[in-house]
Amino acid sequence: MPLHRRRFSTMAKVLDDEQRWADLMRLAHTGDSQAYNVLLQELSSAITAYLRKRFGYMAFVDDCVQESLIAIHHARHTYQFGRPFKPWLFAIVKYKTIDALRKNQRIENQYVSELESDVDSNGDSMSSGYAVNDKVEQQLLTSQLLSLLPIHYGKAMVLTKLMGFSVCDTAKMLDISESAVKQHVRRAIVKTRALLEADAI
Amino acid sequence: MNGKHQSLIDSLSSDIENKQRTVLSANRVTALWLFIYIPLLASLMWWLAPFRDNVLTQLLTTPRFALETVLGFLSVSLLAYCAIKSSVPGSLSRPIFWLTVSVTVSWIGHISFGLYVPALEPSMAGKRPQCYFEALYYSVPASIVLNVLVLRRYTLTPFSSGLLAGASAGLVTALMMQVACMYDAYHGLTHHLIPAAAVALVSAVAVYLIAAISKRSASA
Repeated sequence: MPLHRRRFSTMAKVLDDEQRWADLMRLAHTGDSQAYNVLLQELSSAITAYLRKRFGYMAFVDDCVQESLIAIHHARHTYQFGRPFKPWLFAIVKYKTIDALRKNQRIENQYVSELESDVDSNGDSMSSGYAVNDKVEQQLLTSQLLSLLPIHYGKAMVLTKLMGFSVCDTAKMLDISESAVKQHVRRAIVKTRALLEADAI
Repeated sequence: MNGKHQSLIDSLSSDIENKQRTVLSANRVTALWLFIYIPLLASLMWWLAPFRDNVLTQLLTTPRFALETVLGFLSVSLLAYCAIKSSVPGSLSRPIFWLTVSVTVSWIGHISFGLYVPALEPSMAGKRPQCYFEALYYSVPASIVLNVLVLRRYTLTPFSSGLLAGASAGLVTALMMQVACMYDAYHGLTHHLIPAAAVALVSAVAVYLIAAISKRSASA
């Protein structure tokens, strides 16, 4: 398909989504649970795609999608008909994403538990360390938002917040002190927030 | 991907009520603020103790005092508008927010500039003996009303929303005091604007705490 036609069809799809979601929300406001179910399913896919593009394929993304869906449910009465749907939607998604990054609790990550069981069974922590490093590098290169962070901030954030390693493990892996890890993560979150807020939908 | 969240989606969609509560738009709240609350407040203040005698003449003959009052009106209206807008996700635009900040800073800056070059000749005429406490008393119910309106929506920035709502409630009283009480820039700053700042700060902390508690209870 020629480039201009492809662009036109993408634009038409974006406008379609906007209108359809607004219509579904209008139906949901009248108590149509079927329409609301369809809306949440479509939003779930859209939010997942949005976050994966920016953060890569991580368990963190699923947590954010879930939190965003719950927030959308609680905030649905604030959507004003006739106003654009996407700024309303993505303001919630961005807020929930930063909120999830800020939370101190470690996320449940299958990757970390698999890695720990590998280390236990093989006792080969060196090769596992390289594997983690590769994964982090790949994550930083492929995701749109993380690639914009300074490399040391990005690594600290991916390891602690997105992959679920503890501050102590991250400090060992990056060969820096624990307080330096905490500081890098804090700055990475501030930078991520600024990047997300500047991000036009 | 949807499969992962399907059970959540099903439970959320089975939870919707037939009739949604509706919220007043920011324009309506600002209009109510301007055309109902300010005249009510002015009437109450007039009833309790009359305004200073020559205030109308001062407004008509002193352009700087008139400008200061207009800036005050703009400031309190924009602050109320922003408070309500900030409680709807993605609704408050940056230009409006910065316009509000600029107008408010200009107003307070204009009053402060009066310390060196007064807009009106400082005088004790119209002095209200309890103006500091009056400024607090009148601001608190207004601040509660605005904060309830903010909390009924879904604010993503509770501290800022509370600060904007409290600032609007506090400054509207300060504005009325500038017209009703004695005119002196120093008196205006210490007895009219400091209570407004206190109300704004308390309101911000209160909204932040209420939002945090309701968020925690919702997630529990």
